Amino acid sequence: MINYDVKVLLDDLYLSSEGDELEFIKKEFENIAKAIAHFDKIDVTNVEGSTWPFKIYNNYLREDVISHSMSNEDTLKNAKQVQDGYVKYVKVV
Amino acid sequence: MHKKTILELREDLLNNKISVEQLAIECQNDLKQLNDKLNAINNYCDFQALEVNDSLLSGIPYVMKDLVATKDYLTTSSSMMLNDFVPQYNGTIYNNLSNENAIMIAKSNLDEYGMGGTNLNSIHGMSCNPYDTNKGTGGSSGGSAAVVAAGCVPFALGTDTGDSVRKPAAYCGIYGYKPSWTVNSRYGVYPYGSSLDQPGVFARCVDDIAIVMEALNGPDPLDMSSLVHEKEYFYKNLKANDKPLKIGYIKELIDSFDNEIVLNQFEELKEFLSSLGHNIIELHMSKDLLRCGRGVYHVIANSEATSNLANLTGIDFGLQILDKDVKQSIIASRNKGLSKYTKARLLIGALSLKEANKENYFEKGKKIRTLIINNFDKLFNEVDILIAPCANSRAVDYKNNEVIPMSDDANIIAENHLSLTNLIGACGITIPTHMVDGYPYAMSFMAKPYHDQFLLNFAKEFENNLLENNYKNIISFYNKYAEEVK
Repeated sequence: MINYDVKVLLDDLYLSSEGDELEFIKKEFENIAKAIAHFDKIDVTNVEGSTWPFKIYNNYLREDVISHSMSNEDTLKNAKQVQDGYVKYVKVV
Repeated sequence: MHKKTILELREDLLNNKISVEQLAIECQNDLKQLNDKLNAINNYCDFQALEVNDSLLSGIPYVMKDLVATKDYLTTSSSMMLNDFVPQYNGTIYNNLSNENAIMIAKSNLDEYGMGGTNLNSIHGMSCNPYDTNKGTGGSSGGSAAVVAAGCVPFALGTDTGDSVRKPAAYCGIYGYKPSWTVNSRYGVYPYGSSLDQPGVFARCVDDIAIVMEALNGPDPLDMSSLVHEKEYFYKNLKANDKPLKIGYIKELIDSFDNEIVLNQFEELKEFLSSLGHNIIELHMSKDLLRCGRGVYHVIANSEATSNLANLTGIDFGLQILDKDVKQSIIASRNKGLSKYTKARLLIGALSLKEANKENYFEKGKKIRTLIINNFDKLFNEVDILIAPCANSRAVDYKNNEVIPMSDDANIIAENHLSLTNLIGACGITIPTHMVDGYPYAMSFMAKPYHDQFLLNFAKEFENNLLENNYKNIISFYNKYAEEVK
C-alpha cells in the first residue's frame, strides 16, 4: 500500500482540488499506484537506473553563436497584461 | 472525398486533375462536414496554395496534432490552460513539412498534453471512431487517427509517448508509425515525457509513412537529442524485404491476452509470416517484469511531466486567474486550466519524486527500465522483429460507458505493452490486419532502435503480400478507410 497525503502532493504541484474532482483524482491515482506496486517483486540490486532509453553522446563543444531568438514583442504576445515591455502580474513584494 | 494516397494525389496534381488550392479546400471541407460526427478537429488553418515541385509532399494536405507549435496558429493541446495560446515559433516537424510545400489544413483533437489513451481527457470531448462514432479512437493522438481513417487526408501527425500513435491507429484501422527515439526532432512539440516522446505518422499505406518520415527526420540543432544520427531517406531506400527473417514473440506477453478473437488473429499472423518464409521464434521474459511496464511508464513519464508542465503558471501565457498573491494566482490558474486527468498524472509524478519515495518509485522505476532495456537487447540478439497484437480488445464504446471485462494481466500487460517500445527507444509500427463485426484490429511490429528503415522495409513486404492475396482472415488495409461514418 502506498502512503501519501494528496493535499501535500497537490500543494507541491501548485494545485488544489476538492469534492467530486478530488475523488476522481484519488481513484485515478490509486489505479496507477496499483501498477507501481508491482515494483516490489523486482530485485534491482547492483542495477544502474536509465534516464534515457540508450546513451546519447552529444555534448558537443562549440563557440557561442546567436542563432535563435524571439523578439521582445513576440515574447509578450501571449501575456495577459504588459507594461513597459514586461509582463505585469500580481505584486510579489 | 479524395480518399487517395499521397502518390495518387500527386498524380492528380501533376496531371492538373485538381489544383493545389482546390484539393486543400475540398479536404478541409470534408473535415468540416464530418467533424460534427468525429469531433476530431480543434481548429482549421488558413493556408497558401503552394506550388507543386519535386517534393512528393508538395501540395499535399495534412492534419497536425494540436500539440505541435505553429507560429500564428492556435496550439491549444486541447487544454483550457492554452485555449487562446498562439505560439510565436514553429515546431521543427512543421517546418520540415512546410519546406516540402505540404499544406497543414487543420489541427487535431488529443488528450490534454498527450496525457491519456482514450481522448476523453480533452476540453473538446473525445474524438470519435469513424467505424462507429459511439466508440473512441484511443489516444492521445485520436483526432489525427480519425481524420485519416475517415479518408479526409492521406496522412496526419501525432506524437507517441506510450502508444499514442500506434493504438489510435489500431482502433481506427490505419497504419501508425512511431520512429526510434530522437529520429524526429521534438523542438516545438509540447513535452510530456522527454525520455519517451517521439512524433509519429498516421497513414493508410507504408509508402505514405516512408514519404512523410523522410521529410520529418533529421538532426536539428534545436533538439540536441536529434543530433546523434544522420538524416535518413526512408522512401528513397524503401524496398520490400525479400529475406527470411527471425520474427519473435514473447510468450508471457501473449499469454496475458484473454480475448480469444485477438489470440486467434495472432495465430493467423504467425502462420502467415511463416508462409512468407520467416522463422517464428518463441521468446521469454519474466511476467513480473512485464507487469512492471505500466508502472515504470507512469513513474517516468509523469515525473518528467511534473517538470515539463511546471511552466503552465498563467503568468506570461495561458489562462490567468488573479488571486491575493503569486502562489494563489498560480494555483487558481492551474486548477481551472488543467483537467482532472492531468492532475491525477501529475500527482503520480509528484509522489514518485517526493524525497521519502524517490528511491522506491522514481529511482527504482529507472532501474527496472534498465532491466527491461537489457531484456529487449537480449531478445533482439535472437530475432529481427518482435510481434504482438496491439490491444486486448477493439475500440471501446465510451458513449455507452462500455467496460470490456478482462483479466488483471490483460489489463496491465496486454493493454499496455506498446509503451515498452518507448521505454527502450525502439521503433514500432501497427498494421491493421482483421475486421470483425465491422471493427478493425491490428498487430504490432517492433524493431530495435535506429532500425527504422529495416522495419519499414519489412512492413512493405507484409503489405505487398496481402495486396496479392488475403491470408485466411487477414486482409489488406492498403488505403482502406471507413466508407461511411455513422
